[in-house]
Amino acid sequence: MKSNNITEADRILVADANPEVCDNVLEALIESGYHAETAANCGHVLERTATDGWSVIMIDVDLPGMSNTELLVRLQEYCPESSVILLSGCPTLDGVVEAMRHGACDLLTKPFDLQELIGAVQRGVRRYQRTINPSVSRHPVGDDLRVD
Amino acid sequence: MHEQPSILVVDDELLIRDLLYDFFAGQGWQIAIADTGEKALGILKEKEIDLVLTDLRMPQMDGLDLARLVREEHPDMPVVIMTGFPSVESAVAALRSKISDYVTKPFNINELFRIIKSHIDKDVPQQ
Repeated sequence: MKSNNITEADRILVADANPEVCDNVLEALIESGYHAETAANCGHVLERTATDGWSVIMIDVDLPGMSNTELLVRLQEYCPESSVILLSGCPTLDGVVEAMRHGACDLLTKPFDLQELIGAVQRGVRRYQRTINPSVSRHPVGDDLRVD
Repeated sequence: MHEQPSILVVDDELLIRDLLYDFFAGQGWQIAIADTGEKALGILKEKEIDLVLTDLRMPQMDGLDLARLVREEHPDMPVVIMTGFPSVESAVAALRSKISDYVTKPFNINELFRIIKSHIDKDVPQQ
């Protein structure tokens, strides 16, 4: 459990049209000491990123409102420092490559367990910290390079 | 960056190395080739390279291990993976490794050129 001092690095936005997924992820992240909020569609994600900073943005690939690629492009424009983690029940090769080309940094296949979720969030937060403060050590970077 | 882009191709298959050498040299690009990750790291110490294009599956050091070692010395170097054995799992591993792109073999050489050029152009400061 982390301390109660919430920094921007602890702020996680979870976007999924399924309220049950949002609730479960939200609960797990809050239990782990993060400040987490939810969004139910792409427009809501863009509103929340316009008003607040997030270290990690978790997005279901089928989030309603616009295509996943279009949302990634907008997020690259609005908050390039945030680490974007995609959530997908059935990831495809083309989808993963498209996400790679448009700035996503991770993908979790649903259903995922708590360990996978927290591991991905921790990697995303570290990446965010390195982006906003390049003097933070990039070495070792092995945790970015292994499939858990 | 050089006047002409400079890329390092890493593949244990001679046919692929030859094909890519001939094509990129024909475009006027500077091209270095290596058949192992270890040799690639040696070349990176000696030459100025704009992008690494590497096979995923190679004996001893695979493309993702090579990318990790490249990033230790060149944190912003674009690395593009090629593979004849594509899978969602390896693509996700590449995504987590900050790989710039993931190209499936056999590839269309003109499409590969477009992809490589797009990543090199990203690194060119805008006027």
